[in-house]
Amino acid sequence: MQQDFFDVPGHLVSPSQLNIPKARELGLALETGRVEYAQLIETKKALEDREVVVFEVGVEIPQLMVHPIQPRERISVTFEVTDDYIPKTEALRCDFPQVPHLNLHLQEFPRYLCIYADRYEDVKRRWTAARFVQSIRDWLALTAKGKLHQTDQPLEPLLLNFFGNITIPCDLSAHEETPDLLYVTKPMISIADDKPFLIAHRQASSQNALDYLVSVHRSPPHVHGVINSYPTSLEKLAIMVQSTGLDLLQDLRDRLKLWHKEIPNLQDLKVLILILFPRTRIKGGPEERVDPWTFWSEASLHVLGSKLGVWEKRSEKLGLLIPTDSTRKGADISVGVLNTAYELTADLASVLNGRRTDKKIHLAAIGQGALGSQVVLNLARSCFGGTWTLIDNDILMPHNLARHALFKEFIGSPKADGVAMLANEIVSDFKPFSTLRADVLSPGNLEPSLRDALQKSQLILDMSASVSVARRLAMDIQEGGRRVSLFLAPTGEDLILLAEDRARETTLDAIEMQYYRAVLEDQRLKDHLNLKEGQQRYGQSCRDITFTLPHNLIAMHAAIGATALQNLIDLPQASIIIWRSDKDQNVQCINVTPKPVVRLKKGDWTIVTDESLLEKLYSFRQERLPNETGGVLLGAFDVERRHIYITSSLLSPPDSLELSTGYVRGCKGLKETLTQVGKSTNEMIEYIGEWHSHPPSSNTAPSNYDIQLFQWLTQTMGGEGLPAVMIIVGEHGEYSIFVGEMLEDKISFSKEAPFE
Amino acid sequence: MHKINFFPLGNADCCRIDLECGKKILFDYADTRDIDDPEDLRWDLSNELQKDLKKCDRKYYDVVAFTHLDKDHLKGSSKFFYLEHSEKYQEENRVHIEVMWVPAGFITEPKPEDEDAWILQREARYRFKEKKGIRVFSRPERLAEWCEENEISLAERKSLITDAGKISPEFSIARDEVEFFIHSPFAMRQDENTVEDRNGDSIVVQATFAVGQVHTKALLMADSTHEALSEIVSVTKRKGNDARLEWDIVKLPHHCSYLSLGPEKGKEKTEPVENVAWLYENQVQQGGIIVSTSKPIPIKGSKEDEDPQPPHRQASNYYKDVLDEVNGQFIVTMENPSKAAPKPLVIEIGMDKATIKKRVTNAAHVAISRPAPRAG
Repeated sequence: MQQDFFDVPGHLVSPSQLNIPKARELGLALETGRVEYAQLIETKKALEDREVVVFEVGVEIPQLMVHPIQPRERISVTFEVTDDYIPKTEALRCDFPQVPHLNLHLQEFPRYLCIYADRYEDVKRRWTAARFVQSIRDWLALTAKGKLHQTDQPLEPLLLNFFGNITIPCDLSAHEETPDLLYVTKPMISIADDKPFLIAHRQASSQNALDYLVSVHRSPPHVHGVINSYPTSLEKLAIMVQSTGLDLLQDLRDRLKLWHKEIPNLQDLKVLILILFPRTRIKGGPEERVDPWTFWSEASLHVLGSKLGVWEKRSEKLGLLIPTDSTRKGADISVGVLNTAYELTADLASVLNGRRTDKKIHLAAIGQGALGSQVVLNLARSCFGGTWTLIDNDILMPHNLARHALFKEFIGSPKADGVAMLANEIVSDFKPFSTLRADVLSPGNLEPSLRDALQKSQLILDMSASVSVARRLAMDIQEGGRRVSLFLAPTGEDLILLAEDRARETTLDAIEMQYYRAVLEDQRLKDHLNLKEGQQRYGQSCRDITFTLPHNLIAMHAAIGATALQNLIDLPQASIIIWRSDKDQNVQCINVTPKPVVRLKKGDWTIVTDESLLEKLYSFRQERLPNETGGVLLGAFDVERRHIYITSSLLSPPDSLELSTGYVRGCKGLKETLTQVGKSTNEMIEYIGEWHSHPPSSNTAPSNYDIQLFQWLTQTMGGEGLPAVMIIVGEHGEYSIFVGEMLEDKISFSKEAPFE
Repeated sequence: MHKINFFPLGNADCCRIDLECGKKILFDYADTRDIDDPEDLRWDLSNELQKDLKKCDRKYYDVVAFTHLDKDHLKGSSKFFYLEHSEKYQEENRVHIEVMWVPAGFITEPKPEDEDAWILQREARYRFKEKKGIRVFSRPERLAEWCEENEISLAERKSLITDAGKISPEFSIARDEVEFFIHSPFAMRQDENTVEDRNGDSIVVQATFAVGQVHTKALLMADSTHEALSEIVSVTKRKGNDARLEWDIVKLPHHCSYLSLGPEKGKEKTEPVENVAWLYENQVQQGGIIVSTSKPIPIKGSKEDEDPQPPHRQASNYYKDVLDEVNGQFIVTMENPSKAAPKPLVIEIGMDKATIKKRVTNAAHVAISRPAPRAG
């Protein structure tokens, strides 16, 4: 098969006569046969000191190809003395196909290959003749297999030099949405670039600020690329698009006549031409994509009309030509190509963030402080979740700006509103954020709205830094799906995530207690809730952030928290995760597995503990057999909700009496230990009662001694208005729990039935 | 992904097939390189194959086919393979053959002069007598005579024999994603020779490789002459098996000899006989590949161009013209990728059918692939 190749201009020289270093290196390397799968054809000197190396390369092609590349292709590379741009690499075969990753230039042929995706400055450091040839061979091989092309890229040639940029509404591609006209207004922020950057809107916001009109055209669907070289005039553009069936000039003339009547005061505005090219894979197939091309021209509306023979200027007025002078085709209107981009859509934002399209849910985010605002904006970037209600009743104060996601302009406005406003400004096709300016703890007449918002939320994200809010969500409000708390330790160095399971069997309050136990018992969490030297405790709740705290720490934890939330969505189980950072910015992730919760009703008290604690007491008993043993119970009271949390126990003090017939709990070191427990947990965990074991062959019913002990305990605790808790552990994991209370100077107590 | 490998061995054959399922097959083994000649550009076959087996943690081939008893198809075999018939050939590092494929003539021919051939013939006879590790292709009447002379029963060995027109039972598309259709030797030849005709009676197969629904077909044609090929074409067409001669890849018979195309070499281009023309021109698939396991094609007017031995420039011109019509590729093992430094040819077979690998090894890889020269 005789191949036809384009001639390369210039006069023949030998490779050693080349002067441009890279041209010479390539020519000589090919001449000596040092480059595998490449043979020199000729070397030339051309105009303006350009030097050209022509050679053939062997290409690794499969039998079944996406694009018809041949096993040998002839390539010419043109080098410039200045070496400031990637050497122009062209495929000389006359019928080289239209493929992705071509550069657009003034002529369609020879095809101009876009070899490198990187900047030439980055390529230069590693450029050798052999590697360059290899890059060309790779480009051809990947093109043959259709693997060079990324799916979201248009098939048209790449714009090497473009006149400027324009963004267009993201919903323009749908057929019924195509308007005839878009408006470009002056940008809010000036662009420090010599190239214009234009933003086209569907509506003209104010006519005074209008810069350009954009005439929007849509070609019939077609398979192949249309714009394969730079059109230099409007006439040439019209000829180029003719093959699709679009009569650009006639369409323009019709519109000009219309606009001339409708919008006479816009005559001095320049007109841009946007053409939407719907693409199908096969002829007559469904539209798969719409490629937008925008062309800039100097011509204003009335100049355009004159040069297309629509009207003429007659004594300062425009006179319509009847009939239209169709010999005027715009040959004298020069056009430039604008790099056209759609605005960002939610789907693309997800893809660019590396996320599959998540199942859409509704989320409520409570607390839009430093952490909350940053977490929400992080998640908004990828359009995570679906729709959101941001709940907060705080107003942005000046001092908040040191660590908050919002800016000075928002001072005095509700934080939730500000964050929602920013979050809704990221993608163009979706405004997922709404707000509710309510205090979760005392919503007042907003209570129904609050419950409505929570009711529709599959996930309720508490970033309020308040234990009370978390408890209220866990216990007082039944509406909505699983609750997740995200907060910082007082130092700001650690981040904590507490998440309920999807079925809400392990509620947030119970998880909170298991978290405190981990803080007490897990060495990895040593000093986790301690304050740094010189730090002041601010408020009663351990989640309040002290006044000095670097923004960087919050930003880092907001990034971690956002990622953790994305991962959490797919996991049905409850979680306790703590991220600890150190002064060298190492972050350690500590996972604590939540244990199944045991919940018992005792009179009007509810006891909440978990299997882990009961197993631990039993194992202490087993260790000490045949003697009895016991110790102090740790936990928390929620007097308001009549809840007793039993989370942990201390080892039997060394001065205790452990007998086969009884147990006397000693007190050596207890005070110090309890002080430490309080300190370690920010006073969230305290003494709540006593436990002891019974020997083999006896049940967990209280002995006379036990009743006396319990009376003592009830009186002691009653002094502070708290109930008494006593647990007796017997054989086979059996235990009894007693809760006693001083009622009008009488002692009442109830016993939990034996439990296996 | 399956792989077919050819090696630069001069006018000699060895084709290794690496199946996706892990099995390995060898068609012929001719280790021709003169290890004492540093200028010899031919590949060190035994070393190359050993390296590959080591990489795959194997000590055997599932099948080794010896297409016929000529030296350029089995040179050095008696040093490389573990042979069952004598302890002399059973050192530790020898490579085992699970099943040996041979044409019937391999067993029935009188004692060959070449030593490797003679040793391999004894191995084939031993395996045939022992009734294991061998498959014999066709020519039952010759085998019958030989069995009678050697006082063994042919009937007991029927399962070891596969006739032309059948799929060899060692492989199936369902299990191994490959099948081998046997074209030659036939049970009967039209011009039944009184003497053994090795080239006419050599093994010719069509291998069909499956990757998903995509089939890639390779014709491995030993040293067949145009007469033998004509006969294969006639029989195949008569049986309505035309598809069994379709090809994406051809291993040319007899190192690009004009005699495998037609009786006359021709001045610039060999004219094939009608059936052979049909085989190449009608049965080629888009992007087809022809492999000439030979020395470089002689340049017109050169000393080599006058050599009666293949490869013949005129024959290569015919093949190139066939391939130009289908965007195909003609590869000569001693020219790939260059005459100055030939390397093994690797053809990958995947969803997009066959791809000739054209990988360039980078300098660092070359440097670390062997010990550096001594530093002072």
